[in-house]
Amino acid sequence: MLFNSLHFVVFFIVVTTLYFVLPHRYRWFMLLVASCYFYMVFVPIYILILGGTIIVDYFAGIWLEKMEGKGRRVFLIASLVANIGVLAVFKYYNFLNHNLSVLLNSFGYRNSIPNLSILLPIGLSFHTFQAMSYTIEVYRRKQKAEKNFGIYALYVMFYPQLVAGPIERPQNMLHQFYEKHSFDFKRVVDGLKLMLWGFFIKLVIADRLAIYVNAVYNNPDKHSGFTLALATVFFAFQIYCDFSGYSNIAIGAARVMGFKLMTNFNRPYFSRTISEFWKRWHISLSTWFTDYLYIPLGGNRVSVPRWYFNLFFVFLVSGLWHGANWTFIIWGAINGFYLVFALVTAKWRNKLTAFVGLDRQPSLHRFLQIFTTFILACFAWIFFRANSADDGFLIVRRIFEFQGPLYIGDLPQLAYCVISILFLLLVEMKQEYVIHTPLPFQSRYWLKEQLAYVMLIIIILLIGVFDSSQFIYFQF
Amino acid sequence: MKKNLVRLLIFLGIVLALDKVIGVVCQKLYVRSNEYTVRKLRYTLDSTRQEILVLGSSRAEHHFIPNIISQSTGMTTYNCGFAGEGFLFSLIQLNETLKRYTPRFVVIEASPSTLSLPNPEESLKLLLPYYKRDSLIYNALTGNGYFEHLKFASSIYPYNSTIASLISGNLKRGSDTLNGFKPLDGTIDTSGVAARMNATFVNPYPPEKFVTLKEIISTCRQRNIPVAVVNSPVYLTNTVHDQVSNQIKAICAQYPNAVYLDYSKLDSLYVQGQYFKDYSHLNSAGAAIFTRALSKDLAEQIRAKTYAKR
Repeated sequence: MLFNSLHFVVFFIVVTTLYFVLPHRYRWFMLLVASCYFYMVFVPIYILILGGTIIVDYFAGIWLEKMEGKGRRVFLIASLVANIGVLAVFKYYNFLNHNLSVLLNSFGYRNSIPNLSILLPIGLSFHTFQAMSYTIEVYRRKQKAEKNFGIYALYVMFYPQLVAGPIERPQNMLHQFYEKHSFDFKRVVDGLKLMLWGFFIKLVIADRLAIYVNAVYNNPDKHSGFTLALATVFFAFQIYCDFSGYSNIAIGAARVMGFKLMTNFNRPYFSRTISEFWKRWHISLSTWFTDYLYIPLGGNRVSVPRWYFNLFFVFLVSGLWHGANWTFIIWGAINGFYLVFALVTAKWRNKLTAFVGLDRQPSLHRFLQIFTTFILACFAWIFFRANSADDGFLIVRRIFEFQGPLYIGDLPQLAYCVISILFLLLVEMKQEYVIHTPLPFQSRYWLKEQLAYVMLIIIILLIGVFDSSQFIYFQF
Repeated sequence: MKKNLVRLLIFLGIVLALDKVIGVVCQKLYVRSNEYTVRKLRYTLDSTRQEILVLGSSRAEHHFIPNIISQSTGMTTYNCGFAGEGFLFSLIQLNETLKRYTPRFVVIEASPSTLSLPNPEESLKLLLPYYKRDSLIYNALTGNGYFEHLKFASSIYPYNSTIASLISGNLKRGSDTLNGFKPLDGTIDTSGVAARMNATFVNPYPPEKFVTLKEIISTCRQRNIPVAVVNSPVYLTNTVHDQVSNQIKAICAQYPNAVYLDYSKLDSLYVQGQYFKDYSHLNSAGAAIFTRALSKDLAEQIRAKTYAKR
């Protein structure tokens, strides 16, 4: 079920009402049934795959807790292989097979292994990672195994974050399913406001920008460097509004019922370095990779070359996590390169900053850092959005030619895009430097604040895109 | 609790009131708008009185020049074609027309390219302001899901995404001297055309694709209106394209009021890049050549009263 559909609006009202009407002991069961329904709206049969991995991880957790010695490691590995195996078959099999064919062809051989014609289960990478975090935490004895199968299943399937995160940790979520959440008007209203902001940035900004971005990126050979540069900037805001919009709706929907999900975005385009960007962008995934890959690899407590390798490798894997395509791997590699390059050149850059006197102009320095970080992020997004690696390189080449006319298309449409980005930046600047809350508007005057939210609803109705387009991250 | 309830009611009251007020303003702006698409849609649904109506997608809108057809046939002609719209849109236009009068002749552009339009149902958004008018329009707009009906609880929603063009449309004047024809300028970039053709036309279409076309022809038959089903020129065809053309021809053969006229490979235009904007759209020079050829055949058909006799 898509969050940006009326089906979801009706579903949300029914489930939330039932949640508060039912006695506490039945709530988890109702939420589990509702989450199953939510998932089955996409491809019903795939619930069996999800159910299979839930059963494996549930028993793995119990055995991991009971067992001592080397056997524990075997159970952990078995559980991880089961999870990654499903991911590998559905997400990476065809990619690997295709590349094997290319490799064999180059040596004059033919690959006779057939491709699989299967749809990728929606949000597979998200719930797989969430399930893996459970078994790893139980293995590390930082989390007790969950005995109630239904509660464990709900931990993996909780509908607000089932298909696109935030990727939760068992320590944050499991206990919440046992807590009794009463109806708190302020909390409910805050949750609804966050959802409304999520709908606004998805329907009014992301989906509007998508029209221009898709028109350009689907025919990159037909567009000039200026057009491709503008489309890339638009895509940077599109993907941000698309994914953070989803996260806001998820966090808001959970908050209405009394659940607290982790923050997933913290105004990433106000970052001053790429390193900071990754502390503000898709936080639940970044911390997952830090906890379960970067630190086990040794993190920064190793030799300097190894440290650089660890950073680069984690981003390469992060790229692959996003999709089985060379474009994502290149995107990950670019980000890994940025981080390593930043570390290698840190001293030199500090000296340069002092030399040109930027350290005495903190505001200008901050602006230049934010601007540079944004441009670097945009450069990497080219490969994230491009339909193929060849398209990505073509787009980069065209952009650096600095020529050609700007494709306007539909002028009002372009105007909506520019105005909505400026509006977003204004709201986020206020959040970043003044109000410091995830909610977009705050005022001591009740009516003034409510009018701002009323205007969001009106603007959604006026210029929101109501074609129920998918969230970009659903494909991962 | 009581305070919270009052606040909630105030919030909802403001939303509903603003929705109603802005919806009414949008409606007023809509009926006065001179923006090309809005004005043309209003005209085709409410005001046409011409003897010949041309229906179809962008290939109708950019290919058929009513003034040339009128000169050859002696009948007033209007081009009701709309870019991106499929047969369902044409059927709705026809139904609305038939509520007012019976045209003497209907020309519908029906070609493999029109049938290959991606999701023509989704492009029916143009009809949102008319959702109350007819069950066919309402069902077409709400056909995508159980909950689509809820959207119409809002008075603003029918004018979604149009506010900028409604405002600009109220600031300009416009007149339609071309009777619905919209010329295209420029010429085709022929690189990769054959590959795109082959990617577009892979297999013949299933029978469901032709249901609405059949409905248009049979609706005309009920009112004794002869129909010319025209396959207008394309830059290039392939085998599958020709198979789909034959499917359309076979359908026309089932109806006594329909005649199939195939110009997809018109000698003077086929693979003549200077007359095409892209592989499925003629530029204005190409449109003039095509319409002259078509008008001659149409005039002949009308003079011979082929359809009337049937």
